[in-house]
Amino acid sequence: MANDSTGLSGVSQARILVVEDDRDVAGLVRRELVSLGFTVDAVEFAEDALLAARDTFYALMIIDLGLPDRDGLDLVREMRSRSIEAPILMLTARNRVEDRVTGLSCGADDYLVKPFAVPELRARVTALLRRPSRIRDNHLSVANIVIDRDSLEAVVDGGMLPLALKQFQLLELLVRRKNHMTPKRMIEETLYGFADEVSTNSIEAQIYKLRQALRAAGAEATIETRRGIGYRLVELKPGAQ
Amino acid sequence: MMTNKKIVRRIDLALLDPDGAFPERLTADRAMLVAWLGDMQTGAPEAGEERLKQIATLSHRLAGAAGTFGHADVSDAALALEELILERPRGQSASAWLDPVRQAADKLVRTLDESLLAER
Repeated sequence: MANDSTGLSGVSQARILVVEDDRDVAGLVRRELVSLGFTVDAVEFAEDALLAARDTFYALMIIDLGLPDRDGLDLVREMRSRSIEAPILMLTARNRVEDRVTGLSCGADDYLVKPFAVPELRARVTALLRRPSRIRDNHLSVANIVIDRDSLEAVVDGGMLPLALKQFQLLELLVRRKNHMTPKRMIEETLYGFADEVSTNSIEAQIYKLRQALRAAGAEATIETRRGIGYRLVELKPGAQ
Repeated sequence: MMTNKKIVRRIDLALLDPDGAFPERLTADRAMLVAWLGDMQTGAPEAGEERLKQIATLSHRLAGAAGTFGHADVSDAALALEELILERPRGQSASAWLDPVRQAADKLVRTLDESLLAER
């Protein structure tokens, strides 16, 4: 079971992927994580990591920067391009600022410089697992729609979508949950605070406006409605526009 | 007689390395380092380039692992060797860079010996 003093209780069944070719370091990391109650898969090669992450849901991935078959940064980039969203803790023996910045901008969420102290490993793992995972990526895309959470801009084929803030937030939520049904209640909770007054058809109205904007801009994705359940953003099949 | 500091260090290492296998890795890395340095001195220039890359990789990994397993001095010496190899001026052959590499590598070997001795 997870050790309560680490604040990890409740996530003890989480599965973690460790990608590290130094067997001593991998063994140490695995031992620590297992002792905290995690299930751990450890691989040495980037290609094995991609295969593992394709088939398994990981709560966290710990990736060394220097892998034998490929640069760890490339692996992080590819994970993100494949929409693998698990938080990534980079392990690096390179303590140069530019390496750390590059790693973070490639899609890693945090880094740990080797040599590291075991309590620091635990603390960083704990902190990453506490974060709501879907609030991490600030650049998201579905089909030809790209949204930038930092600038609050949505773009379709290079053209800016003229969205009000609520519509932008709605699009962001649907993009993050692409292909998954998003219940109306979840949309309400995302778009409106406790103090906001929400009329009975306000979600429908926002969906309507967002649909119009996407259609007018030539977006290759559309919002499907399932009556009584919610909404889903799906990519259009070629020629379906 | 063991000092308190030494006893605490032993306990720390035992927690990090419950099987006590890490000194074997240090011994193996030391042997490889010495062999590759020898190759650089006696081998063909192409082999020297290959060996220099291997020494850089070994020292890179050792810098990360040794420090994590409580061998800070080994980690520092390995990092110094790796950085020296990476600082090689563009266009300079491996054999021309051999002397400074050997000095840094000798220091790493000495540090490894001291660490291994302390483990006994």
